[in-house]
Amino acid sequence: MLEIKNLTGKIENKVVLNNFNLTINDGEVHVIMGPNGVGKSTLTKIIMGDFNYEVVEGNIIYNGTNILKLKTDERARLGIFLAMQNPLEIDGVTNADFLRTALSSKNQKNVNLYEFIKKIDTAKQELMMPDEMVHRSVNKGFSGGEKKKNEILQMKILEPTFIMLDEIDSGVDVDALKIVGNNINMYRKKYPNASFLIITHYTHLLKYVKPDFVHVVKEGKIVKTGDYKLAKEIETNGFNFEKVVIEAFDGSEVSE
Amino acid sequence: MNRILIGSNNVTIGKVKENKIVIDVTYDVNLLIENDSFKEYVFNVNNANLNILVTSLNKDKVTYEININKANVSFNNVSNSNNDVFLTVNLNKEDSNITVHNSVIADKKLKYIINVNHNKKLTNSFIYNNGITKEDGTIEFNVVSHVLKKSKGCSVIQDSKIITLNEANESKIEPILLIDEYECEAKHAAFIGNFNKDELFYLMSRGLTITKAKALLTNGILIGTLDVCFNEKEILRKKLEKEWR
Repeated sequence: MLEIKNLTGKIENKVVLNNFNLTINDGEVHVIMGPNGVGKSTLTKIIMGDFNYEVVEGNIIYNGTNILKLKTDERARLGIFLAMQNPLEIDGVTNADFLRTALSSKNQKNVNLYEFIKKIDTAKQELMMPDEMVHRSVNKGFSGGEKKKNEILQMKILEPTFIMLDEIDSGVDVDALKIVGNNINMYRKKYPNASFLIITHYTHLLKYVKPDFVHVVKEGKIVKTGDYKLAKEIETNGFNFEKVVIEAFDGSEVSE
Repeated sequence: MNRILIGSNNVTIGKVKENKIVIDVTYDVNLLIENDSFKEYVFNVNNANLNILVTSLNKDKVTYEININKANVSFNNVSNSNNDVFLTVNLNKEDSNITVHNSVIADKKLKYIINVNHNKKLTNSFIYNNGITKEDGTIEFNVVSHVLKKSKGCSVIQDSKIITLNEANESKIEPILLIDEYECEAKHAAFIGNFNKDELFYLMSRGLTITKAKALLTNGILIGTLDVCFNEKEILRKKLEKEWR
């Protein structure tokens, strides 16, 4: 279970998250929607421990541990995973080397090569990734869709328990999105206690991965919470937040 | 023992003088030069593909001259020996191409002076320099790419990166493009600094400690970028881990 309590975070002296609260129980899928610049990606970066962000106030408790005291790698080894919006290209470091080192770090022992190859072969087949991608430099020369698939590949290899997907649906064509969605569902079936925090602007991915909760974020805090219907309403109305926010403050539901 | 390993019988070793060797290549070959004592190398490559891997332990200045006549040459130099390197490439005929990968670890002051002459049209040069400085190390990468007039359709790329793991900040990159012909393409990139924080964050977000993340990036910069086969990379990786740290 992940609990975010009264979290205020900033980057370069600009407050981006403002007294943010959210609880995600095991096995739940939460979606955060909102226009650009309201703090959606900041939330994921702060949970993951990005050096560039500063926590001013609040706590993030993961399975009883206050993770704000931990370094990024320690959080990852606890089972927290962030699939990034813009996965970095790292020249000279192959996917295979990277994943094997990461898996060894997570398991705190060297990974058996045969088991690693078997695991990665299965994962890349399920994601319909070509064989050679594993031996290429991390994300180097990958298309937008390939980069996102590669993030999901890492998730499948590292088997985290709390997964953040930051705009995993952007830059992905319809076929690749379906594959990504199916793989997330396969993962949920295999690990029913794994919980997800999905950041998105659209409902495309949510057609495959059904959310338990949809939150609307504005000015660094959640202003409305609903279910899949709320995501559909946002898609229909665009990001007409004035209407949504006013209705949220009124305590009334947004009409269909 | 100093030795030169030759991948096939298609290389002629000639004009051997003290500290100098001339190698004429007319067939496709991989050439491994390790623990050598020569100070001057001349490669004459004609209508062939040549891949050179130098793992130098030479403490003195080393000079390489590569003359390419309608051929493709990949020159890979991995050095932990703090020797200055002077490399001159002459692209003498059409369809002559050179790719250079220099991977350098410096704990003293050293410089790489590289001159590439595009003497004919439709010639290409790709120069990649990667260095890491530690202790008292500083590196100077000085690369001059010269495209002569009438050498149309040439491609010139220079990309140099120095990761500074020490306090000394005298490292220098001088990318010089001397272009006397309009119809050609030329690019350069240069970076001096520490490891990219975003790259470190990305690796650490998958569970790697900062030490492991830096080791992986170092491997990537120095070995992963080389244009050599997997086995050679593995040997170099082990060397890097055991001897060069």
